[in-house]
Amino acid sequence: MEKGEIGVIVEGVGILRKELFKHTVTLACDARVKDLAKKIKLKKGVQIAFFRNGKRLKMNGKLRDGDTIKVIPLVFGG
Amino acid sequence: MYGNTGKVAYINCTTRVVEEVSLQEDMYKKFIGGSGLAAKLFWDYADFNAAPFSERSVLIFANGPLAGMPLSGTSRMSAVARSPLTGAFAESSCGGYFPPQLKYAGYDGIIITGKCTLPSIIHIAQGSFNIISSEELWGKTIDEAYSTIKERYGGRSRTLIIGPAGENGVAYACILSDAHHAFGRCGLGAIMGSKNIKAIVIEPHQTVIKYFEEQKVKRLIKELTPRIKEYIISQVLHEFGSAGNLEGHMYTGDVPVKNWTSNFNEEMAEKLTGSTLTEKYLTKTGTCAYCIIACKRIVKVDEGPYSIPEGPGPEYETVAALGCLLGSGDLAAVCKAGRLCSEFGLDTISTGATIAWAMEAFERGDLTEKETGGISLQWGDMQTVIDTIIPSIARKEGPLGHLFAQGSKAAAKTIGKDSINYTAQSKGLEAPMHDPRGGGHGHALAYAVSPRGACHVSTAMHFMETGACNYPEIGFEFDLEALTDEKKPETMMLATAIGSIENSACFCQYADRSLTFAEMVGILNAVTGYNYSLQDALDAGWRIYHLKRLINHRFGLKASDDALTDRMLEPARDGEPQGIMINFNGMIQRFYELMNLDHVEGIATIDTLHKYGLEQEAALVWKKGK
Repeated sequence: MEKGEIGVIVEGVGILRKELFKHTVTLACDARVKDLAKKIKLKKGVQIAFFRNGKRLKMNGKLRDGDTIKVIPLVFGG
Repeated sequence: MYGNTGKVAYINCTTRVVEEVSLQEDMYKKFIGGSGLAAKLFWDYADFNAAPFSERSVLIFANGPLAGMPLSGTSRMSAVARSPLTGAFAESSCGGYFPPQLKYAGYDGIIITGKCTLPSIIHIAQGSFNIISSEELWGKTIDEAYSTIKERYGGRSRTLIIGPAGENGVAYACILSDAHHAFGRCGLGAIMGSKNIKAIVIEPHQTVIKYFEEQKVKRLIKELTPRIKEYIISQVLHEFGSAGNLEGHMYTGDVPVKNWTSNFNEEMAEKLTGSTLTEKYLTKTGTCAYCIIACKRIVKVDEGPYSIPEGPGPEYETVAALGCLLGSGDLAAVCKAGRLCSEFGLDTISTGATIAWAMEAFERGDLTEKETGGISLQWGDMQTVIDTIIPSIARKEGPLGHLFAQGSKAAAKTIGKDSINYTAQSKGLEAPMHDPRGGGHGHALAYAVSPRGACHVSTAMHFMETGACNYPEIGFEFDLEALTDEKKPETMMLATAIGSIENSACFCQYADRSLTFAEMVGILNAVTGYNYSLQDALDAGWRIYHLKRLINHRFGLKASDDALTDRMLEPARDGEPQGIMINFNGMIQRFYELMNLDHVEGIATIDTLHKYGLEQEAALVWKKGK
């Protein structure tokens, strides 16, 4: 990681667990959730939401170095 | 007649007389089939003074017009009665292989009244019905009875069977089809048991169904099948079952934990979610007739205290009700508890919800070992749930069995101490495992105004509120925020009609999710020749909804029964929805205005009922009500 960058740990949940293994994503230090979203490529048609410490983040929410972000598939039913 | 057969069987178990009743085409067009047709037949044939277990009560099964066509999601049927759990209108739907067989036998439904003198089965072969005494089956679990019946009538026969819970009058006993697919809710298994009917068995029939537009039906099946298969929800359901996104639901706050005292438990979510079930215990998938989704789970737990042989596995509702709600993250235990409920014939939602309420009552000291017969109730104690509680409920054994077999509302009334405030039910029906405080506020409204009580499948609200579908052709293009009341009553109005159509056409809510509303109506028209416009179809949906509310009114229900408990409306204590209030009163008032429901009687105004062609029904109820 270079100066002016942050590392965010990203992990898919449930049906995304196999597709999105736990790994670190490097972003600019002023990165927001929407920037992270652009870096994640998932199956077509799966809407996702981002959670930090059990709370949903808005797309404009600011990320911090060392954050663990869970990526939740928004597939409903059951 | 197209799609439908035009007749139902009327069986009087007391006199053992079976009659064939022809139905007019107009009745089908007004009430579609399935749930709507069954409600209309209930209106026409029920004795409204009869208690649920009275000899005079009726139990009605009805197919939808699509049953028997080779398209995913069409092999479902509905059953209705007066619920022993709620005292109100009961309905439940079920998939599997029985619905097409009944259609092929030449019948759209079965109306059952009276009571057999001895435990019996209803046997349908070569288009005729016979009542056969079968005392040897009484007392057997559903699995045991299923094996015996299959040996006797052949592997291709299809069955509806009750377990000991139904025989013993447990208020939330279910009926299982082919020992796997459930008419789960409202206690219909106990109604069947009260009539001394252990099973309904149908042998294969070959009647060819005529469609209004044969070529168009074939084309639609060819066009829609790959789309249904490729739809993301279908893929998730196939790979991971209906619990496929339990973990995702947990993050949004949709999954109730420990009797709705929590909306978030990360560890539990990971241990119980559908992908874990697939990895650890799935041996193969199961399906309903003609369905390519195959969302059913077949599981086997090889080792440990909760080992079970290969057989039906839990769906989402079962995993959440017998896991999260009881404070357990032990998936093997959930599989075993679910299997036990299937063998005894218990609805897993009401079973889990009643036990969860009791665990909290015990923790608070509102329920003691005096009332439970010396049994201690602790969160997550699955050994006691499996070894003692579930069998006691099914057999109505001991004080615990008798208390819990009534369901949570009646049990709370029995022990008092304001314990009803922390039940999670509406009209006495325990809520399913989607907590509106996190899953979407519109769902609180859906639970409250559902005729059968707290229900997530009588409307399309769950899917519409969470963005899983959009119907611009009927004005639904809302991009809704789940945790607000904004546009929820308006959405609920449409969701009510769509849900009624789905449950009356008997179209699976998973399989039809990828279809437009116009396509759903197009299939109905091609099969039946109803020639519905989109507005006609919506009107049929609302007509059915209003009729069910009229039935409830005749059972004494009013607007005040469209309510939720304190627990369901208190702000969530943790997770994503923590602290957010639901504007329940605002939503329900607006919904009443939109639907022209009387704010005291809880039924539509006379003008509205006339608009939907319910003149005779309106005259009877409004004359009685005022």
